[in-house]
Amino acid sequence: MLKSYLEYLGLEKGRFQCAWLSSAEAERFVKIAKATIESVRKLGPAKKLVRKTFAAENC
Amino acid sequence: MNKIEKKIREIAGKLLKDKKVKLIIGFEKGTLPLKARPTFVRKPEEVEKLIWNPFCENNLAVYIPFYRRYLDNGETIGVIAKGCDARSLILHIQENIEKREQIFIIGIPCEGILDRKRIEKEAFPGEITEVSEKDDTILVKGNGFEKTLKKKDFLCEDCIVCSHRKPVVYDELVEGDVKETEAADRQNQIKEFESKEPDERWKIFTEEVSRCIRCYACRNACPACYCKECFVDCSKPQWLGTTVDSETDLQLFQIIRTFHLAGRCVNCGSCSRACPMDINISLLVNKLSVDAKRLFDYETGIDVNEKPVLNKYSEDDSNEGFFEEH
Repeated sequence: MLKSYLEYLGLEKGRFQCAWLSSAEAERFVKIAKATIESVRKLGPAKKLVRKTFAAENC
Repeated sequence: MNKIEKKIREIAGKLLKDKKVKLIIGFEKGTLPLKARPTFVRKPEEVEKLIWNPFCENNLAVYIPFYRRYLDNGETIGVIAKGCDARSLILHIQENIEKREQIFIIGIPCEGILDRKRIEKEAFPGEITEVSEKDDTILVKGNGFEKTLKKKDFLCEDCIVCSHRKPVVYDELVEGDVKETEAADRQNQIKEFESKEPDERWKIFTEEVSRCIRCYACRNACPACYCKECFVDCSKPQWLGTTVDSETDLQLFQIIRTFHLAGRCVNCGSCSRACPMDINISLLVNKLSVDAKRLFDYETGIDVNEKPVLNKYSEDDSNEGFFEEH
């Protein structure tokens, strides 16, 4: 529901991911983390929901 | 005095006289013509001030958790409830902050609340000094003008797509014939927004929330926002900035507050009406209700014995939005 909501408001598809995981599923965790990184890399740096004052201080 | 008012006073008077309830929450005449003010009646002789008209816009369920603190254990509160108010009360019962037997619901078949801001705009530049109702029209009078307006042209957006005008659960119902709306599909309300491109949607959303002045009127008007300590007031840890300087803080405040209402919002529209900056909060919360219906086939505040949708788990729940293996 949260994913659907954020995408409804206009957040890019792929920026936010949810997964069901058990602590015994190490391999699956790696797979999901890699897939998430890949999809976020494709999208490039986040422009939405980034606190500007924070960014201005730190970049 | 209309028929509904007469009946409300009769029921309220009887309840107070028989000491069945300690307090009745209803509406009285406001100081301005297009407003009704929530009122708290404790004595049978005070019931004469109770009124009912299409400007009774607040969701009265919001006062229950607050007044409960000042009552002795087991005392009953009576509420004059529209369809949406009654659904909010049921939400409170489902979430265990109220007991069913400690609330007396005086149900009112509601024909929809009128949008006071739109009526004021219609009468502009004149100032409205008097309003009266007749069947399906209202007559607004001001300095040197007089206009008859059709009620159905000025219904609040949430009331147009309302699916439960008649309270679903009640202890006593004020009889009245009210038809359920034909366009009772919340989907219609968000369709246009949803058909836009993501960046366009984000732009509209940002424009809307950038007007926010963080007055928290939406939170205070919301019957589902009853947390004793709200995440925005919390300073240890401080979840998000409290000023209006950062656009992101405004976006986050609106996203987080509305998402806390996922599967709990009854779409009464109180938040949008309470907003002094005219932010279309309904546009946000409606999506959550549409999703609750689409993913879990759930509507808030219908059945007292049901659990809130995000509190229950079933193996065949939808997996939409979760990571899928390829």
